[in-house]
Amino acid sequence: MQTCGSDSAVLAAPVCGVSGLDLALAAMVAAGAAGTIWYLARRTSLRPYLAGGGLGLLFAISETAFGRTVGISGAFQQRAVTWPVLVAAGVFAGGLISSTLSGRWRVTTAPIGTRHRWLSVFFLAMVLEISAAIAGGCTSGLALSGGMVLAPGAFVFMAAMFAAGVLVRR
Amino acid sequence: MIPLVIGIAFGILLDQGGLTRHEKIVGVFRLRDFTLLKFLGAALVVGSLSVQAALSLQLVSAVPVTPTRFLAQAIGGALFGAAMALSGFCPGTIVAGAGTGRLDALIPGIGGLYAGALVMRRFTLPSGNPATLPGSHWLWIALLCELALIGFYFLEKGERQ
Repeated sequence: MQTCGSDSAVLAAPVCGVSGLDLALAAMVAAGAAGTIWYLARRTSLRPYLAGGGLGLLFAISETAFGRTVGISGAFQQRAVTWPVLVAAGVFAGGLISSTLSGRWRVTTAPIGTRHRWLSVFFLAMVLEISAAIAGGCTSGLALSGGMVLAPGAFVFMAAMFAAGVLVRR
Repeated sequence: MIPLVIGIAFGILLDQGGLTRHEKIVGVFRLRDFTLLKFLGAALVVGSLSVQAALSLQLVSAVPVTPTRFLAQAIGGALFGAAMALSGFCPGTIVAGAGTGRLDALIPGIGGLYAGALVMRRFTLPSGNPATLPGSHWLWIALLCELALIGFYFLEKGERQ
């Protein structure tokens, strides 16, 4: 790892990979973010933003510190207990821990017409896995992991996903 | 141990964000409840800023990039979105939802994901191009963040009406 010295040295030293324009942009974004958080905190529930922001940080740590993207759909294609399988096992445990701590854990069969719901969930989960395999990832492994490293395909995937989803629910 | 911890944090955040409830996922496609968009938008903003900061400060030299295959991702994305809107699930929320005691996620959900993976074992798909958007990444991220912030404003406005 290379040390970059004081802030003024960073500004003048493109060798560190940070230019003055970069810093100005970062400051602009930070100011905008602070303003929006202030605006939202006054008027609305911050819960989805905080949970989402935490997820972004988690994915960034996984990608930078461990060199791994976080994806769930890939875990089902593994034939051994590998990294993605353990992540998926953790997600199950996380759902269990979170709902228990919030006092919401309980066994439920289905919201409406169990038999019909179970058949449709089985079929649709199959479609989810097949389409994720075609695209090379799901909401986590492609849309979010790809989007945050600016992979163009992630934005194509998200646009197609929302367009099709809104169309079938019209 | 590390992947397990990452997964647990992921599952907790999904559940605390409300996304293990299928109504939240269906709601976004009905244009009624924008929880998923807020969650994904915030994750993209924080995630892209963190990754780019780590790269610019040279804490890391490279991060894994999800490959791009435009046609496959347009088709796969459309299929995926349709299945998500109809079921109220995506693979992550099926697994986390199963943890919260939902049997429809645990049995047909995880069963269906395995069935889909079995089908796809018969095919080998071409690997894509691990490219990122051209030009200054900070400029793209600034654009992404500003768009997200403007989007959040209108989502909140839309939900209140």
